[in-house]
Amino acid sequence: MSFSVNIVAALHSEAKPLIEQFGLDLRHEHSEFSVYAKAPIRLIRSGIGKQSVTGATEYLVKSDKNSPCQGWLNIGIAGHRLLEVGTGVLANKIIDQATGRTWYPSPFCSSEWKSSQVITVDEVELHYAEDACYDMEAAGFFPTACRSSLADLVLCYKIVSDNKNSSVQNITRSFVNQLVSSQLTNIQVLIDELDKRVKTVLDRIPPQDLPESFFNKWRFTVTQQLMMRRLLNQCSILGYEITAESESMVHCQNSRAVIHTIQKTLDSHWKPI
Amino acid sequence: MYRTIYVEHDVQHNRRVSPVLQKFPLAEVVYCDRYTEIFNRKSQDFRLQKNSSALILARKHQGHVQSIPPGYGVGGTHNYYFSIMLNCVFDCRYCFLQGMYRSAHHVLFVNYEDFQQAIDEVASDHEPTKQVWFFSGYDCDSLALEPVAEFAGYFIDALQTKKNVWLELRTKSTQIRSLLEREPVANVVTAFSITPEIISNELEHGVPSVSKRISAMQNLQEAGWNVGLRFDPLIYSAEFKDQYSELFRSIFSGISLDLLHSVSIGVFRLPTVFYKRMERLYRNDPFMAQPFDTHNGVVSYPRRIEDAMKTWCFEEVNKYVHEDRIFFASSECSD
Repeated sequence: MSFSVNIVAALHSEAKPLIEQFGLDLRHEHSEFSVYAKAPIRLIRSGIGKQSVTGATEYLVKSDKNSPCQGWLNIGIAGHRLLEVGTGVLANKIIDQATGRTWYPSPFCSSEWKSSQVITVDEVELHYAEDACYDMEAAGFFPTACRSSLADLVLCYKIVSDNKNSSVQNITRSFVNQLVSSQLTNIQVLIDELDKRVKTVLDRIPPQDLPESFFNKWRFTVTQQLMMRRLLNQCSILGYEITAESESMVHCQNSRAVIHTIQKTLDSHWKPI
Repeated sequence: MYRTIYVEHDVQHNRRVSPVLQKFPLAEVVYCDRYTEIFNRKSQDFRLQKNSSALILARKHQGHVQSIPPGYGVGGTHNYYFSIMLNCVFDCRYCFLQGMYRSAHHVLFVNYEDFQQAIDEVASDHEPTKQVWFFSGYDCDSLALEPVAEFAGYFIDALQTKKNVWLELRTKSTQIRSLLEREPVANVVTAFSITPEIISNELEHGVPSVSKRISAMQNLQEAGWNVGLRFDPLIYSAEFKDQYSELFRSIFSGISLDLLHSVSIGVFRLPTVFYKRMERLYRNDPFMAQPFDTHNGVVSYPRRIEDAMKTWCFEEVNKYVHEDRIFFASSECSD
């Protein structure tokens, strides 16, 4: 099963609308977090706070080490001084208030998306001192996800749950559920974009195995296998059909002769000008 | 065009920042301490970023002027380059910047005065009778962002009274309005980098058509400006001679040879380390899949092809232009 997008949400009420929308099944229940999945999405419910989200993100990283490339999305609620409750924003700068460390998620490709600085706090923020979103997870999630992935595949999406006029005291489970539900269309766009970016990157990774027919006829050292993969890829892109049964290969006595023959074929690409 | 603009705190009050931000009223402005927090970090992907490149307004602290890489000059005695911008708005498949940087964002250094001071200092180290050249289009396209950067106007003002100081603006763009709005300056050369239309369409994404660039050259010459031609990189194809013959005919029948300062010729070449990075970005790309040769840390065409391309081009260009004005870009690279 291959997963291209990992979602990290702190609260059950943040995760629930996503689990329902994407038809995710419970795959693993850990004492601290639960994992839900249905290709291409995995979702982990981390619990509140920087440490919890760091642990949950690391857990997802370790549980799928074979995947060469995955996208990461942190979804959660946040407070903001001015923005209207229910507004969805992408983080363009993440500050860990406790340490002062800063990260800059890559810009998203559409101008219609609102973006904002996100300040991750250890205690609930009631004063909204800066023109920023206040959350409790982004500064744990972002650097952890970036350690296992391209930074351009890691996004934080925050939904404003409280502001100067609407106290954090008003936040209930059903309210959070409602906030996330109202953003499902946007979240789907983010998932699709991450999935697309992951596919772009995966498409560049060359096939790891040589065609069996070559192995059956000749023995290649590890270095020669690397060289063969590169040469066969070049042949395929440039339109030279080379197989172990090709006429030019028939007389090759050993792996060195095979490589030489393919190089000679490729060299015919250069016609005298 | 830009949806996100990063601004270093250090330059937020620089007089060039506000006009730039006003040109992109819909862009989100994000403040940072140093552009290196965003640009060219580990784990960035040039191709993914190219779809949503941001602009970064920053200060260049040191190394404003550098010696040119081997084979970059056009006959001057002393040659230097300076880069007020890192990266390019165009997307040319062969461009070495993709191998040099992991990031596709555009960095604009707005402290032009510091560059100017460095240029003055370097120029004053040399005899006033010797030409000292400053090339501005090495890490970027000199004019592509001119409506935003207003770079050419500033540096031409600063250099025009220094008769031994020459400025080359190397470009694939047609952003020449700022030049046409002023009197021509003899020691400024706007050098157009050109490949045949069919190759340009295939490999130079976002670049104005060849005919538009020829037209820009004509307009500049009519206004009295010197232009240069940079057939660099020469790109191989099985129809190389036909494609380049046609290109040379179009150009030399359209421009004045009197105001043609120089022509340079150089084949496609990349430092091996850049090539390897680019190969990873373009595994399925026919241009990058070609069986290039490697000589002394430089990836390029096989020597026989390279020599044939250069020799033939020299002879063809020489039919129109005196050989004193034709220069070969060296096959060496700097990294």
